[in-house]
Amino acid sequence: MLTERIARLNDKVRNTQSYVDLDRARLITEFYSQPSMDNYILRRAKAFRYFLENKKIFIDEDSQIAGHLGGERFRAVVVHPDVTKWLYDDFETLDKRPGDNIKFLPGDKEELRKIVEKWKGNTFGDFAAGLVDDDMKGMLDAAVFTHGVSNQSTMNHSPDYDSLVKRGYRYYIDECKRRLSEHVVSDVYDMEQRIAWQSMIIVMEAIIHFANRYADLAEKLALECTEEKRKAELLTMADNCKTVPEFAPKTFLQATQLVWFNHLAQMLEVAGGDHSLGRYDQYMYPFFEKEVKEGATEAYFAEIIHEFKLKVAEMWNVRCYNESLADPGNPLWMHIMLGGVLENGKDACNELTNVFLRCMRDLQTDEPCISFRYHRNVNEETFRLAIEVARDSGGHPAFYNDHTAISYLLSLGFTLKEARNWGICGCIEPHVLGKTDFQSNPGYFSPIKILEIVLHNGTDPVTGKQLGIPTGDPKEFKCIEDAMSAYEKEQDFFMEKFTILVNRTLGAHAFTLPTITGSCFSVGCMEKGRLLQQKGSNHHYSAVGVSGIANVIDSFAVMEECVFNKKYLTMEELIHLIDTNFEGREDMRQLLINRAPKFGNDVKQADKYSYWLIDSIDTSMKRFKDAHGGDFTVLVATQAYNVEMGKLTNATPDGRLAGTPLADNASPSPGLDVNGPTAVVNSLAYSDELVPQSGLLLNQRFDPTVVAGEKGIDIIETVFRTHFEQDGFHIQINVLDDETLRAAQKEPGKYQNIIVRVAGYSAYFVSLSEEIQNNIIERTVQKSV
Amino acid sequence: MIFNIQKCSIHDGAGLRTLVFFKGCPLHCLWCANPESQSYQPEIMEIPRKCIACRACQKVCSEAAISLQDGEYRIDRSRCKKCFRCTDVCYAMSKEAVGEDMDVDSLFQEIHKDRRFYQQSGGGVTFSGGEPLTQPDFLAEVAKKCRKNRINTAIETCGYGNYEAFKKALPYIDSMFIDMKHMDSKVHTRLTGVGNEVILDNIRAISTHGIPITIRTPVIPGCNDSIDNIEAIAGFIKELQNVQEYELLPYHQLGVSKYVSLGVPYQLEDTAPPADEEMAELVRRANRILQPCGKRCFYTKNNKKEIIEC
Repeated sequence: MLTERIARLNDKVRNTQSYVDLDRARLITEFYSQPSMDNYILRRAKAFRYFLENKKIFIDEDSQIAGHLGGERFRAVVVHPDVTKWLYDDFETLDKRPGDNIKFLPGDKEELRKIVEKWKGNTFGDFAAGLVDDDMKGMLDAAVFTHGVSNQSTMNHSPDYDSLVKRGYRYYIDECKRRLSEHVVSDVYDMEQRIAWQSMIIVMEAIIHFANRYADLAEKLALECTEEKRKAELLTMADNCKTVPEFAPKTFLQATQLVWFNHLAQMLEVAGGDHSLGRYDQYMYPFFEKEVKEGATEAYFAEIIHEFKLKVAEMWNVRCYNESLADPGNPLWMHIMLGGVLENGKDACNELTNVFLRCMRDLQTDEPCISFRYHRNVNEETFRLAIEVARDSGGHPAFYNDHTAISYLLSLGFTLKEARNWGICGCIEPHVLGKTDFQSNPGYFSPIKILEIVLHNGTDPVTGKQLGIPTGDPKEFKCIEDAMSAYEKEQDFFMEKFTILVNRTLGAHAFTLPTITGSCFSVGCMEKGRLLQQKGSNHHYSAVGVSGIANVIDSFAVMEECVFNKKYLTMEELIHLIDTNFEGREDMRQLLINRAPKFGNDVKQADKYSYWLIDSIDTSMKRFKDAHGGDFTVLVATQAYNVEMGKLTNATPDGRLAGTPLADNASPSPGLDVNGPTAVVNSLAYSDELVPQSGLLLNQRFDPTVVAGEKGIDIIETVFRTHFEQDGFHIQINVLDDETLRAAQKEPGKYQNIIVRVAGYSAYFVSLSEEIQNNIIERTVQKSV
Repeated sequence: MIFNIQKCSIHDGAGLRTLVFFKGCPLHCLWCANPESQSYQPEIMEIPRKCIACRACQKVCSEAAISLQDGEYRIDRSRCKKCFRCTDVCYAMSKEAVGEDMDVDSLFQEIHKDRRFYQQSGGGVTFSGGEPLTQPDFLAEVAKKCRKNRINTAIETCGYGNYEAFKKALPYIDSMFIDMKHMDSKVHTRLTGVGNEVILDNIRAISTHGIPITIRTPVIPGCNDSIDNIEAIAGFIKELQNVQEYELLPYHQLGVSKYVSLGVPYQLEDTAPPADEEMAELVRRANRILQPCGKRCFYTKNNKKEIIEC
C-alpha cells in the first residue's frame, strides 16, 4: 500500500502538464552574451555555475528529497539552445508532437523563439552537422545510418557512486586542489590539465552551493510551517542539503539525496539523459543495514525509494522531432541495477534488493529502468520475486546474465573484479560502473538498407541515389555466397563512412562540449587531469545500434531456399517483386513467407544467418577504433527506429511490405516465430550471443493465462534460465493480451497505468502514438497450449 | 505418422515439454479436440481466412472439387481424392497437408532441441495423439533414444492398443496419462466408437510395470459428467497401485474450428463447458473415494491444481 504522500507525488508526476522551463535557456544565453577570452572549458563551467546560482528553485510540500529540473513546478522540460540545433529547426513542433505532450507557459514561446534565433547557426548541433560530407548526407537521408550524439555530448554518464557515497564532493575538490598545487606546466598542452581541474572545482562548488540554496529554502519553509511533522521533515531536508553533496552522507535519505543532486546536475549541465544510477542495492546497503539495526522499518525505506523513483520519472529529456518518434514515451534510460555478484563472485542479493523489488509491486513507474542481474548462484527467492514483479508490474525489471556481460567486459579490457561491478547504460549496454566512458548511440546502422542497396548494385531504390559501391549485378548471383559476399563488401564501405562520422563527432565533443560533472566522478579523469571527452577515462567504447536483423536473416534464408535451392523464382524475379511491392503477386509474397524458414523458430537454415550477420558487422567495425582508442561494439537493439527506418525501406525479400516496420530489436519478425518462446531462445543462442559486446535485446510477450500463478513463474524462470545457460544476455517480458491493449487504445482513461516494455525502456502504453501501440500489439504473443 | 510437434507445453506432464502428436486413433470421441488426429492417413486442412484467392488450388485440382465460396476457395470433400496438389501450390497455407512420416532420428532431433529447457524444469517429451500406442515400434524406438539422452518421457493415451505390441515401449516411459471416459462399456461405445474392456485391461497391465499413471477424464456435459460415472472411475482407480492422481479435464470447444478445416460436422455444437461448481463437485465426490487411500483428484484452473477436499 502506498502512503497518501506517495500517492499525491505520483499524481503530480503523472498528471502535471509538462511545460518548457526557460531558466536554463535564458541564463546560459545571458552568460554567453558577456564577452570573454576565457578558455572554452572554463567558460562552460562558469556558465553552468551562473545557471545554478540563478535558476529558480522550489520545494514541493510532499517531498523529502530536494531538487527538480524546473524552478516552479513538476514536469519541467529544460531546453538547451546552446547545444541543440534541432531546437531551431523543429521549434514549431515542440508543443505539437504526437508523442510528447509539452506546453509553453504564457509568453514563453515567443521568448524562447527569440533566444533560439540568437543561437541560430552557432549551436553545437550546427558544428556537428558541419562534419557531414555530401556523400554521408545522402546515407543519412536514406537511413543507412544515423548521426548519433550530434545534438548532445557524451550521452551516458556512469558516476562512481560506490565511492561518492563514501566521500562526498569535498574529497574530490581537495584532490583537484592538491593536484593543481603540485602541477608544473612544462609543455603547452599541460595547460589542459590545469583547466580540467579548475573546471571540476568550479562545477563541484557550484553544485554544493546549489544544494545549499535548497537548504536555505527548506529552513525558511520550516520557519513558516505550523505543522510539527512537516516542520521536522523540512529541517531534516535542510540538514541533508547542507551535508550532501559536500560531505559523506550519514543516513539512507542523505545518501539518496546525494545521488539525486549529482544526477540532477548532470541533467542540468548539458542536453542528454541516459545516465546510470548504478547498483542502488549495493552502494545503499551500508546505510540500509545501519538504520535497520537502529529499528528503521520497511515502510520508512519504501517511502524514500518511491520518492526517489518518482523524481527520476518526473524528468524530461526532450529530443528532436524525428527522435521523439523513434523513442516514443520520453524514455530516459536511467538505469538502476539490482542483484548480480559481488567483486568476489558471490551472490550480491541482499535484503535491500528484496525491499526494492517489493516496492515495485506497490508503485509502477516508467522510469527509472530497473534491471536484475541473474547468475548461476543467484538467491532463488529473490530471483523469483523479481520474475513475479516483472510479470505483474509491466515488465520491470529486465533480466540480464552476469556470465555474458562479464565475458563482454573482459573482452573489452577490464579486470575480472572490475567486470563484476557492471551496470547498464543506454538501452541494454553493460559497462563497468564509474570506470567507463561509454558512448551509446554513436548512431544506428541499418543492415536491411544495405541489403536493399546490394540488391540494386549500389543504388538506394527509395531515393534513387547511388550511395554505395557497385557490388555486382544481383541478377547474376549464382549462389547465396555471392549475395553474402556482395553484402559484406557494401557493409564494409558504409561502415567506414559511418565510423569516420562518429569519430569526427567524438572530436567535436572534446573540443566544444565536454561534460564536467560527469568527468568529476569517472575514474581516470581527475587522476589524469583530462575530461571524459578528452580521453580522461581509462576505458572507452562505442556501441553501434543495429536494427531489423530478423529482416536480413529471413531475406537471406529466402534467397537460399526459394531462389537457389528450390528455384521457385530467379533473383531477377525476386528483385522485381520487391521493386513493385508485390503488387498483384500476393501469392509470391506468401511463398517467400511460408516456403523458407524464418528466424526465431529454432531452424538452423535461417538461424545460421543470424550468426553470420552479427559476426560480419562486428568484424567490419572492428577494423576501426573510435577516436578515444576504444572498440566499436555491436548492440542489437532498435528502440522504435524499426518503425521509422521501416518507412524508408522498400519491400524486402522476406515478404515484408514497403514502408512497414522492420523487426524490433533482436526479435524475430512479428508473427513469424510460431514455435513458442523456447524456439526463440534457441534461435538467439545459435547467433552466439558472446559476439555483440553490447548485447542483444530480446522482448518476449506472454499471454497472461499461460504465466499465471506459481506455475507461471516456473515457466518464465525456465525460459530465462535456459536463455542464460546458452549465453543469452538479456530478456524482458510483457505479460499482456491483445484484448487489454486494444481496450486501452479505445479508452485510454481507464488504462492509465499499463506499462509496456518498448526496447530497453518502459513507457505508459497510453502515452505512445497509435503507430507504436500497434507495433507492440503485433509482437508475437507466446501462448503454449 | 506425426501431425504436430508442440514446443513449450505445460499441461501434459511436469515442467516444460515437447508434445509429439501421433496421427491415427482407434477411438472417435464425439468431443475430440484434434479431429485431424483420428485418421492414419495424411489429410487436407483448410484455413479459409488465410485464403488470398489466388486460384492456384482450383487450377491444379483434377476433380474440379474447388470452388469460390464467399471470397475463399473451398474444397468439396465429396469430390476430393486427396492428391494434395492443392496443398503443394497453396503458398498462403490456407490449404495444408497434415500428417508427415518422420523417421526416428528427425523426430528425436526435434525433441532434442529443447533439452536444456527440460533439464531446467524437470520437463521432457510427451507422446500424444492420436494414439501413440497404436504405432508401437516407432514409439519404442523414439522413447528409447530419448531415455538414452536423459530426456524424460511421458505418454498421453486413450489406453487402447495391443498390449503385446506396445509393451516393448514401456521400459522407456517415465509416466503416463491414460484417459478413462466412461465405466459403462455400452455408453463408452456410443461416445467413442469402441468398448472400454481393452482399455481397462491395458490399464491393469500397464500398472504392473511400475510406471506412475495419472488417470484423466474429460468431463463432457451430457455425455459422461454424471456423478455415478466419475465415482465409478474413482472406484476403479482406487484399486490401482501406480495411480496417484485422477485429473478431470473440463470440456472445451477450442477444437471446433478444426472440424470446419477438415470439412466434417461437429456433433457437440450445443454443449457448453461445465461450470466451475460442477467441476468442483465432481472432484469432491471423487476425492471422497480416493483420499482415504492416499490418492487425489483435481482439476486445473488458472494454471493451478484445484483439489477440492472431500
